[in-house]
Amino acid sequence: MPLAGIHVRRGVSSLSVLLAATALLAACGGDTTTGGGAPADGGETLGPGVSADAIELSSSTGLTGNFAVVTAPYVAAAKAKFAAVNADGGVNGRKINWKPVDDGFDIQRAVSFAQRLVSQNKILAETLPFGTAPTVAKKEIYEAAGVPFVSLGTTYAEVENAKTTFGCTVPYYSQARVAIRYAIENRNAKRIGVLVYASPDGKEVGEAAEDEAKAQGAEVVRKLEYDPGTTDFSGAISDLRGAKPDVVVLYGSTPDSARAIQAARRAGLKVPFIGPQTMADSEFLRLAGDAAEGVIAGSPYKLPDADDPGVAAFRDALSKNGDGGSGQPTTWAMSGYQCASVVAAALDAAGEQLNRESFVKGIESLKDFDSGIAAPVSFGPDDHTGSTMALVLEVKDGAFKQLSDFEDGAK
Amino acid sequence: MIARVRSFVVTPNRRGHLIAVAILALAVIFAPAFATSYLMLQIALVGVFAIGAFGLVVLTGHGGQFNLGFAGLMALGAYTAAILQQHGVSLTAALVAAVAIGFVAGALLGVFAYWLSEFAMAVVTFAFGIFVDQAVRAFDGLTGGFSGIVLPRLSLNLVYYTVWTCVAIAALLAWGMIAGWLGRWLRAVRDNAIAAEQLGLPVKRVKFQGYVVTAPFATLTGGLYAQALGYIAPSAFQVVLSLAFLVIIIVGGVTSLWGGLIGATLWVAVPELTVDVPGLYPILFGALTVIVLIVVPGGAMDIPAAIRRRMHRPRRAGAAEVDLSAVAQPAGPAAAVRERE
Repeated sequence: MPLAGIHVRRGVSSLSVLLAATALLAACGGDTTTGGGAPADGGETLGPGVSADAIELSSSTGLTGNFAVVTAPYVAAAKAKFAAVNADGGVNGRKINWKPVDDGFDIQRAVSFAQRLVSQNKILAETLPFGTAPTVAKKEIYEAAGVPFVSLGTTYAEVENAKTTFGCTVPYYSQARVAIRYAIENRNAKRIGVLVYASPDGKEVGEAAEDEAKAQGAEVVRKLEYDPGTTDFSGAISDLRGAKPDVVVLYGSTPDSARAIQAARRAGLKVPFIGPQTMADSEFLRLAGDAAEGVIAGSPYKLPDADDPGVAAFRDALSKNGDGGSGQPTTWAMSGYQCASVVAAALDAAGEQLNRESFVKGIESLKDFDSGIAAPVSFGPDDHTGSTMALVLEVKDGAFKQLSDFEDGAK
Repeated sequence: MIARVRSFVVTPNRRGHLIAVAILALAVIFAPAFATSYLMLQIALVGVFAIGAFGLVVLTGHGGQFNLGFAGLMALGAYTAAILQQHGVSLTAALVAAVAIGFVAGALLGVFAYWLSEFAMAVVTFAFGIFVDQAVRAFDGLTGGFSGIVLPRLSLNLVYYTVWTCVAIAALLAWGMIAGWLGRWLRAVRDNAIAAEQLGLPVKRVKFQGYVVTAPFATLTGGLYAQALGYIAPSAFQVVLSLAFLVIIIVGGVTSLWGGLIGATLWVAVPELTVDVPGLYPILFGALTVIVLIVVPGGAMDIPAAIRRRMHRPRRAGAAEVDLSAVAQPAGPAAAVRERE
């Protein structure tokens, strides 16, 4: 019978591995308690994650992966803003505790995060995620559970038909459209080439090129998409060159954009490249080097080094509370700061009895909220896109110069 | 009939597995009474990945054939189910369609096995994955392109029990394949295709059949994955997912269905348990794969046996020493024959 014993042990040991992993996950997932923090003053209307002295917020975002280079300053600046709010006494006497978690831009991990947040019920809201596809996937879970979800809002798809989902910055579509309009009107661009990252946001940037070209009597002569992980853009650039464009609309991660422009310059394609915020960042200048010269970018934010009181407050918050090297005043840092500002203002507007419903109403009540670094944002029950206003920047002599004031790039 | 069932159950190795299966089934059935929605989602995901792993255990573990287009097959199943559900087709019918398209895709891939070697098939299946990925993007009117498809919202309970019903069916089918003529033929082809051919086995047809019967496991995995996530986009089916399934069966045990289940459990659980340390889980899986390949090539399923082998090894291994315990311990084909007797 030793053989029987071996096989019984084998089956049971297999099972024990499964059960142990499940038990660990159960511990990780927490319980189904419905309460948040301890009621502040006997009020039963306080929401999950809200206590007398703290507000718990979280988000899953790509701390690793293709866009990690931009999420580091984004997260650092958001933390800096919340730290500045907390240093000033918090919101209605409560400190904001925001904890970002890595999902690697992976849909499965993002969905798991959202389900855990809903299941644990110990967090008031998910605020400041990063990554369009994971955000769209999580949106369905939060909308069904009534959990507020304040995303970056880089695509219109993120906030379409939303009840509890909001976008706190300007969609790439609008950023790109403002820049394309400038190029058509001021650089006589009639033939437009398009090269975008294969993603929902890339699709919308491509649509921005087509919509603005149609509106201005220009023409999209070639439209290409590239896959995640692409490092060699020579084929795409050669293809674009053959179409003889006056300008090329480019959208991808900041490192991808830098590589693509370098490939274009090497191949002799000297036309201006146009894009959204991904090319309006100092990290882009560093990576692209001389190839960045002449790039025209739409940005939701004033220049990080602008002589402006709002931008000075941003720099000050970052220098006092920044996270070492990640706390550089880049436009991605401005995105984090902007969203954190919107969230803090909405928490304030929600009032003392903070819960998920009052937080949603708080965001919807924000009108012409000015963070100091971007155009004012407004929300409403039927308007969950904070702003569609962007300004135009150009790279001249290795630095960004502002070409226009804020203009509307609405769809 | 009762005697046949009894003779089936009382076989020692089967009895152990049946006890484990019974406990697992009870745990799965009653877990929703105690589990949070988060835990239910994770257990459902384990089931989803286990089904795919079962298919690869048959094809790669027992057949020695590669399928690096697993993510492409998953995408095929996921989009088939999602598109049908968008048009009002029921969940069951959508999953049946996903399985059906798996047979078609498996046949298309398997045809190449008539001419190509295992390694060439790895390239062909890899190319198939890329083809599906590009097709999903190209037909964006149908698939939503990069924006993907948001599926009709189903209750988590329904998804959970559907997944685990499919796991039970898939496990039975995979077990039947492994224990039956197909499994024997696949192993014969894997171990020595020339000898198998000399013995009269239709080697090329066996390879073809291997792809045909295992592709539906992948498309069903995709169909269920879509239900669990509630949203699919091309980024959910990148080539790295195909490699993930290889890692799952290597870590769990490449020839064992239990191993597939253990590998799937680890694949789902480890990223969640290390969520507070960004970037840790890929390193852990990389290290785990290498360690398993070197220390316990049979995967996690082989760990108890490996420990026993270590314990019975002589303290000082000398050239003149003979490991009598190894002789005394029943193991390998001879033991299997004795066991059946």
